[in-house]
Amino acid sequence: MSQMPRNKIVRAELAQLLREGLLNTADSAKIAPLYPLEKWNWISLSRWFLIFGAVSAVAGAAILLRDVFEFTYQKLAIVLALVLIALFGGAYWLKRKGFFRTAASAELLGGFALIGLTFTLGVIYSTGSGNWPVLLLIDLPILLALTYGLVNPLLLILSGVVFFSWFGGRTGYESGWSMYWFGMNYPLRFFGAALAFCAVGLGHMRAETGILARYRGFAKIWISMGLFMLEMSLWLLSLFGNFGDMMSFPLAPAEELVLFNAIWLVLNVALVFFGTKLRFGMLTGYGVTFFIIQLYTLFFAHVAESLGWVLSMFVAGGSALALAMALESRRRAAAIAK
Amino acid sequence: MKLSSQDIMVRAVADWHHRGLIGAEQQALLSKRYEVAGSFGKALLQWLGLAAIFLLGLGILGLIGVLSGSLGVGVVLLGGAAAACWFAGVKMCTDPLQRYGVSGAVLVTVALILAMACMSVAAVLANGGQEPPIALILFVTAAFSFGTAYVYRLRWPLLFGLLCFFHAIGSSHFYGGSGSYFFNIQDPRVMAPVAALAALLGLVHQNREEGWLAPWTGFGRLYVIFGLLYFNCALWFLSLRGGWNDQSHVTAWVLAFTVVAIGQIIVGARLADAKFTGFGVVFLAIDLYTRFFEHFWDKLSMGLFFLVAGVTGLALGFVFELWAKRAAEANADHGTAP
Repeated sequence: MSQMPRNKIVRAELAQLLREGLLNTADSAKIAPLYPLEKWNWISLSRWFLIFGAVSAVAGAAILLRDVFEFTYQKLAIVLALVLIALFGGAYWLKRKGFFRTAASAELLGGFALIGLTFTLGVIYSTGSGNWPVLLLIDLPILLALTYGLVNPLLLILSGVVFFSWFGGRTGYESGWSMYWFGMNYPLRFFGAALAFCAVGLGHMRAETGILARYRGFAKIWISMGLFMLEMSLWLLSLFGNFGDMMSFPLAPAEELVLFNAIWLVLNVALVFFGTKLRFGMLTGYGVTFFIIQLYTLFFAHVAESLGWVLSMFVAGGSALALAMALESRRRAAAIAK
Repeated sequence: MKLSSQDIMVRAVADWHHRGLIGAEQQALLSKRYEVAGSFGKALLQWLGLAAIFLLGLGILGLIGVLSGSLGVGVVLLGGAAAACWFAGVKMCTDPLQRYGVSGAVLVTVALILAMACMSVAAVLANGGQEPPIALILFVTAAFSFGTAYVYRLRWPLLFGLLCFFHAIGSSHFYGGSGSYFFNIQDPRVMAPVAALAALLGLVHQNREEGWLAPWTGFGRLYVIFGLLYFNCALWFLSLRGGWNDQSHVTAWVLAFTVVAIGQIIVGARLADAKFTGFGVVFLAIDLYTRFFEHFWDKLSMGLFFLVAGVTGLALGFVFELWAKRAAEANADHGTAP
């Protein structure tokens, strides 16, 4: 079933709930735009074009500035400060005119300009320490304050990316090798930070129906960022064990790898269980995706070495099948008893 | 499996809560209205069944290597197991009372995997220990799987069939150790049109599922997902430098990849189909990310390209938001229910 028939079903039920007084007009008005019935979904189009447009424009401007213009750092800092003010001023004007999505994109561009300004100032007043990540740490509270002051989820995502980079996460693409890479320094720290992100997300979700009502939907971003870091850190820990610098490849003892794999497996199974129970598709999605990645990795990393894994797969798969049959049998018996 | 209106509403109500639009008490109240008894168990059973297929599938693939020392025994063993699973599974699936519907579907899918393994071992035996014609075996397995899926109206054999089909066309992947994963498509220029056709077929299938294809509801969705996945991956690989490309064509493939990704976002907005939007967004992000890191791009000024693309994106996003605003105002003027 495509989305449109679903939208029609939900909108019809929404009208019914409104008539029965189970939902008030204000709540219904907030929910209805999630299920558009128009021929074209302009909201979806504007959202994605504005986000990609903003990111692409920043990348283009940065490369052009570096390649074409010869700036002194002082002049660059002044230009960036002016751009920053213009972007946030423009966003304010757009909001007043009712263009909230375009305004949010302008604020996102402002966030990028802020990072650029901080780095330029960092170069001007450099002490020679080479500790550039600390500049991101300076940006982080400012971006978070802007996120909540301006109620902008795009800035929250940018804050998450800034945190990830400051905390020791790296990604990249080796052109010519067609190779994408992802790494984390001290993944165990990421594991701890990820748990904190998830806890903030859950608290946020509870508060969004009350004091944090203005920030509806932010909880899902917090939880998603937390789960992403949790899964990625456990992926690395299950492959290499606990390590510090990601450029070194330690050889962890087998029991350490077993421990991290066990934690990862439990997490994924729990995510699928609670995602299904709470109808929280994001949890199920993370759980299923990383369960497959984990089993795939274990299979290819170990199956060639010994028969043990083959038998394990049969035992685990057979157990899952037996459990499915037992559950079906119970469900059938319960249905007959009813 | 077709989602009932109740399922749709239970998921929608949970989503409203996760977005902070309604409180936990209101979610519980509204869920009770739509909740079908045992739906959680049913959903969990589906995931358990899929896990069983995945685990047993990995076990069977491992078994091929283990049995390489005694091929004759392997053929008999795998063939016998395939036949036994097939008959037991079909019996369960066709049971009018559907006492073991999920377990039956698992067994039928496992039977197909066993049949593929049996054909592989038999081919090695017939070739005197040489490499089996793996593409042919995958095509034959895919054909069996598609037939099984349509005859018994099962989606898991279709899922397996699509996996076999696209691997037969040239998709391959493996874990290379030390945290490196490899994914390749033998000839993306062949894969791209085949996958695009599969996506198109899925779209048509999906549209007919309200009518004469109703018994096969949900099949179209799988064709669309696999088709879009491999279509995008093929264009992605073609847009990378080196490998399959004559260097002079890279720019053309980059443009094609970008246009196709943007096109999917537009199609998703027009058809109200989240699958197209999702694939478009993900692959456009990959495209921009890759281009950003490719400093060697000599056909166009990369900075100018990003800047022009970004400003165009922002302008289009603004126009789409303007239209969304006008559509909302028109709805309000005509007294459309919120």
